[in-house]
Amino acid sequence: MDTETEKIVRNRVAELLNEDVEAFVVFVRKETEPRERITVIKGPEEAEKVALSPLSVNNTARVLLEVVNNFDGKVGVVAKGCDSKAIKGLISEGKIEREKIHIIGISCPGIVDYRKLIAFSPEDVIFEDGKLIIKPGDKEIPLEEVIHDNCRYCRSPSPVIYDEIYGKAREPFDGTDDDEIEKLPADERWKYWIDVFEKCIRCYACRSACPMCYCTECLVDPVNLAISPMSTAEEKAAYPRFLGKTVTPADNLFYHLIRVFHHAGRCADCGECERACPMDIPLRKLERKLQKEIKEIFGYEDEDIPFLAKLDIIPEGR
Amino acid sequence: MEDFEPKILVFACNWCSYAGADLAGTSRLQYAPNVRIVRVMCSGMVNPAMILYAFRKGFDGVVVAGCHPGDCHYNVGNYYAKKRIVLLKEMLDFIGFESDRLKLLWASAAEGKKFAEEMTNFTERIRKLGPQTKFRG
Amino acid sequence: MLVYEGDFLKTVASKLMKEGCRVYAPSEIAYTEINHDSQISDVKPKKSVKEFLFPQNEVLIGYGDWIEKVPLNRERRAVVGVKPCDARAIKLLDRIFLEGFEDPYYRARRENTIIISSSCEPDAYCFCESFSSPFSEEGADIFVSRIDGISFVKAVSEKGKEVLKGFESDLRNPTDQEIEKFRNEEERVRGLFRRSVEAEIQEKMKEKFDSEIWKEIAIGCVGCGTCTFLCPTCFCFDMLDEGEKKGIRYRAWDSCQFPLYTLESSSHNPRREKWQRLRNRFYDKFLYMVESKGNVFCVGCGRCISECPAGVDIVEVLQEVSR
Repeated sequence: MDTETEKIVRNRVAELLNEDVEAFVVFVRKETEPRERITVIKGPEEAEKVALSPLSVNNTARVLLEVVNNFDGKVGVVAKGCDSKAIKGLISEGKIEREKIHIIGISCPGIVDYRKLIAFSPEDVIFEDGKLIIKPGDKEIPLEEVIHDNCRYCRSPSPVIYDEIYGKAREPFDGTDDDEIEKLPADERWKYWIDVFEKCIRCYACRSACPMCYCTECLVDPVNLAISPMSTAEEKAAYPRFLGKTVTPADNLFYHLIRVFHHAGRCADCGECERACPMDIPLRKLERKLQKEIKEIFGYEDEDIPFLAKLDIIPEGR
Repeated sequence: MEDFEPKILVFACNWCSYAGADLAGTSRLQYAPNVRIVRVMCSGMVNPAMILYAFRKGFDGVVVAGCHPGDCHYNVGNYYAKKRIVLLKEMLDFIGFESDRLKLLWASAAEGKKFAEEMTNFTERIRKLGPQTKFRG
Repeated sequence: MLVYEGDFLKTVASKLMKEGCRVYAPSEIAYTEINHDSQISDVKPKKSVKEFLFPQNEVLIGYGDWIEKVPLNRERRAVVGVKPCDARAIKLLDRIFLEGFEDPYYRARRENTIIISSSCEPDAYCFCESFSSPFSEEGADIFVSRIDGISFVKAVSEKGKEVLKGFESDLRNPTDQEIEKFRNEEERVRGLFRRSVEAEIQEKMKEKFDSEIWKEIAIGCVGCGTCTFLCPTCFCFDMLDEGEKKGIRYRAWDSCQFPLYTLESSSHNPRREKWQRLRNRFYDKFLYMVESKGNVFCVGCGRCISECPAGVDIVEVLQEVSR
C-alpha cells in the first residue's frame, strides 16, 4: 500500500462507480490528524477523496455489512487481508450475498498505529516503499517500527476473497501462537487478567468495532431487546440476565470471555477489538488463544463451513 | 475449610441425564447431596454464559450432563455441548481458573448408577479444590 | 495568587498523605492512587476525574426483607495535578447533581474530595481554549501553575483555603516580574492549540437538525460508548438491581450511544438509528444543555477524538455544522 496503489485503487473505484457498482466502502483521509476513516461514496466524482495507506486501519467489513442492504445494486468495498477474511466469514454465515459485492482486494504491508504519529500533521505523512516519510526534513521511518502489534502476527496479509487485487503484501507470520502467559502458574495468570480487566470500562467498543459481532441483541445488554408492548413485568423480570453493568474485574473478565467465545472459529484476526479499546487491554491474547485451541483440538482453520456447524470434528479422549 | 460443603450445579438434559438422575433416585442410590439439578431440554442449549453465571452466583462446580454421542434427541445437540465445554475449559485454564470445576458428563437414562457415582466423585474433587472465590460476585 | 518556591503539587501531596488523606495523581490510564510525591506525572489520563465524584458503579441501597440505607462515601481524598479541563467539568457536573434536586451520593463525595488542578500544555487533541483556558481555575479547590521552578498557587474554594492554611509561611505575594512571567506563559500556551471549535453554534445547530450530514458522519461510527464514558461532563446513568430476593440497587454509567438508552417498554425507540444517537451527543452538549443550563457541556479535553475507534472527530463535526 503506497501512493502508487492508492492511485490505481482511486481510478478503479471511479471506473466501477461508472459501471454497475452503486456505492463504494472506502477510506478517506482525515483533515486534522494522520488517520483515515471509512465512508461510503456514491458517485465517481467523489472518488478523488479515496485514500489508501497503512493508515487505513479500520475493518471495512463492518461498514459493508451495515450498508450493503441499503442499496439495490452492487456495493463495492476496499478490503485488506483481514477485511476480506471477515467478509468471507460474513458470506459463509449468510449475512452478505457474494453477488451483491465487488471486492477490491489489497495485499497489505501492515497497518500503522496512528497514535505513534499524532505529533505530525496529516499532509506531512507519506508512505512509500514500505517506509514512512515525514515531509519536513524528509525523515524516514521504517514501517516496521510504527506498525500495529497485531499485524506482526498476521497470517493472511493477502486477501482470501476478491474480484481484483493490488498492492504488495508483507511476509505472512509463520511462528507459533503460544503466549508467554501460558507458561505462568495458574494463580499468576489469574492475577494478570484481573489486573488487566480492572481497567475495562465496559464501553463495548471491542464488541461494536468487531466485524463479526453483528447480533442485534447482545448478551450483555441488560434488557431483552425483544420485549413487546404485550410483555408483562414478570416476563421481563424473568428473562435471563447473565451480566449487569457491574464493572468488577471478574465481571469484566466474564464479559470478555463470553465475547471471545462467540468468535470461536470465526475471528478475522483484524485486531479491531484491541485497537478500539480505549484502555489498551490486550484483547487479542484471548482471541488468539481460542483460535489456537480450535486449530489444535479440532484441526479447524479458515474453512468454508462455520466452525460450530461442522459436526464431524469431535475430539476423542477429552 | 473443615466444614466446606461444595455447591454443585448440574445442567441435565431432559431426555437422558435427567432421566438418569431420576433413575438414581428411584433406585434409591445415594449420592452427594451437594448437587442441584437444572433440567434443560438439551445439553446443546447450555450457553457458556450460563456456566460462568453459575460460578458468579457462587457455585463451586458445574456439570453439564447430556446424552452419549449419537444418542441426542435432537441428533446433534451434544456435539455442540462438547465443543463448547472443551473450549471453555481451555479458556478457563488460560485465564487461571481451575477448569476442573467444570465437567462434561455423558449419562444415559439407564445409567442411574453411573450418574450417582460421577456426582459423588465430582463432589469429592471439588471438596479438594476448596471454595470457588474467583468469579463469585 | 501567591507564590511558592518549588513544586507546590509535590509539597501539598506529601502533606496530605501525611495527614492520612488518600492522594491520587494522573497516570496513563486514570487518576491513580500514589504513595510518594515522585509519582505525580503530567500526562492527561484517559479516564477523566469524574469517576471520583460519580463512579461508574455506585451502590444506592441494599434490599432484602427491608430496605437498607448504604452509608455515603465520606472518605477524604485529594486529586492532585488535575487537568484544568477536568476541573472545569466538575463545575458543570455540580450544576447537574447539586442544582435543584440534590444528589446526596455526589454531594458527599464532592465535599470530601479536594481537587488541586494544575495548568497544562495542550496535546494534539486539546481544544479547551475554545471554552476557557488551560490556566482556568474553575472547578478546582486549589489551582497551581508551575513555571520555571516556582509555583503560582491560588485557593479557589473554602476547602482550598483550609488546605492552604498550613502553608502560610511558605507562600508570598508575587512580584510584578513574576506576574509578568505568568502572563507570558499563559500567552505562549495559548498559541500551542491546533484545534478549536466555535462555542456559539446553537443557531446553526437548530438549522442543521434534519441535515443529511449526520448520516454521513455516522457511517464510520461503531456505536460504542467510549466517547461518553471518557467524557468528563457526560453524566447519564442507569439504575439496576442485582439479586432477586436480596441484593443491591446500584447506578451505572449509561451512554446515549447505546440503543437501549432510549428504548421504551412499548418497544418504541425514538433514537433507533445510529446516526440519530450520534447526532444526539453533539446536540446535547452544544444545544440542549445551553438551553437548559446555559453552559456548553464540552470542556475540550479531546478524549472523545483521540480514543474514538472510528475517527469521529467532534471538532470536524462542528466545523461541518457551522459551514
